Amino acid sequence: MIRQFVSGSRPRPPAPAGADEAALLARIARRDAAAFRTVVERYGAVPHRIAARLLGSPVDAEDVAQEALLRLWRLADRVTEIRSLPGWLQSVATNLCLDRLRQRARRGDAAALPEDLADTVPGADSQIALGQTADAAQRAIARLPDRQRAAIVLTYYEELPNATAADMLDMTIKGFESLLFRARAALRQELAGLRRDGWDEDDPGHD
Amino acid sequence: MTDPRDGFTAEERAVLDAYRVSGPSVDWVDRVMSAVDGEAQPSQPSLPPLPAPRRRGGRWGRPVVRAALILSGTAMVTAAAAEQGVFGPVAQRQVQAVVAAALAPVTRTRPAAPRAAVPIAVDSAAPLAAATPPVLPPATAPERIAPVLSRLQANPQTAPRVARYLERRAQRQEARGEAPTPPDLAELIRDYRQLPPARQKRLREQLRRLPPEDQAEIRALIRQYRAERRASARSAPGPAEAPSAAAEEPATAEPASR
Repeated sequence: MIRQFVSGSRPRPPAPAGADEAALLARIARRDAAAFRTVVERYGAVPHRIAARLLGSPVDAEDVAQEALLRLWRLADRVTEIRSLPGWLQSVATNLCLDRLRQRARRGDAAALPEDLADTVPGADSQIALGQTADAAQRAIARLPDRQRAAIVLTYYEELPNATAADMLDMTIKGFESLLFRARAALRQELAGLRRDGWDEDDPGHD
Repeated sequence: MTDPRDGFTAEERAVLDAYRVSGPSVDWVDRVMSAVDGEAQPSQPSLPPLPAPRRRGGRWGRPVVRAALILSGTAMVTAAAAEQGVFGPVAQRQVQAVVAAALAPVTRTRPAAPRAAVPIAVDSAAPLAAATPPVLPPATAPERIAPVLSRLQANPQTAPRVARYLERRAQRQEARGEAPTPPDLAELIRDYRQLPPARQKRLREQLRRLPPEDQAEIRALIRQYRAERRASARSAPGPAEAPSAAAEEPATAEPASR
């Protein structure tokens, strides 16, 4: 699925890495920790952003982003084969997230630990008025099946072409377009439902 | 190329666009670099784990472990009986002394747990009442939670809820005849899990509206708790001691070049 981001097996060659990016990768290949730190600072937000939207948990998002970047470090002498560092990180993060979502589903704990912990802290009802619209979007996206959620995140939020997103999900373009069509329909349905209920009235029994 | 925003109305797009995610926390880069520093042989990630050392007679068959188990089992039964006053006051004190002395060598025969834990000073001469219950280190030290609670108590928007929570907690402890203790994270999690889903969801939303520094600290606590849980799972005895590489690192996540 990385074929688009690694030279040698790419159906649609993306724009090659910039000179700066290529130089960083070459230094990482020589185990230059300073170069790796630069990559973490510069590109760390990419896997984090995807993971935050796919997993809905800031803590899990940081874990996934860290794991994606550590894989880059572990690739060692193969990092120079990466043609697009952000694209590679997007791909790794997406698949790490899908793995995590599958694990959650197997364990049956859709409400995973990170948010569980976060939620134990008492909050303030008066603060809830803010950001209801954003929460509605988050809730609607979180209710989608995993791969539909990934399709929306990759195309709508990451603004990736369908072909690139299909590669990341290891799907044919036809299959991905079908997935995306269903994802959009489901998302619209979820948004409509939330709007009908009122963005913030999902929990009328709250004290 | 189709516009990714196609298929949504302007109103729907406005809702979707409002969903922004914040960046990683400020210390995240340092944590990643620390993980890199801790990486051994990074160029060979796919090496299989070393086989577990062979043990003659199996784990339960080792004489030292067997002796430790017998001793600790005896100690527990005796301690329970002593606690119930079965032996009478005089015998109770003698039993306490014997059991307290017996427990010390048992704890020395066990290998130190690899996970980071809050060290607890064990005084073998302490009264049995203090030594008998298997006091485990808290998942997350209460002293780390206290500053967060203090800040929430100082926040006029959250103070009433914190006060109410602490008051109810103290009442519950008093009703159970327990000495008041500071809250720890494991307990907060148990409380949370007993809430109905709608209430859990509302609390999640409330957390996201806390001041950033409180959110950051809470997430740090979460991270620590999770790390300790993982360490605990890894150090658990039995076949899970040496998980396979596949279990640790799902194959689908690695975008191997093809």
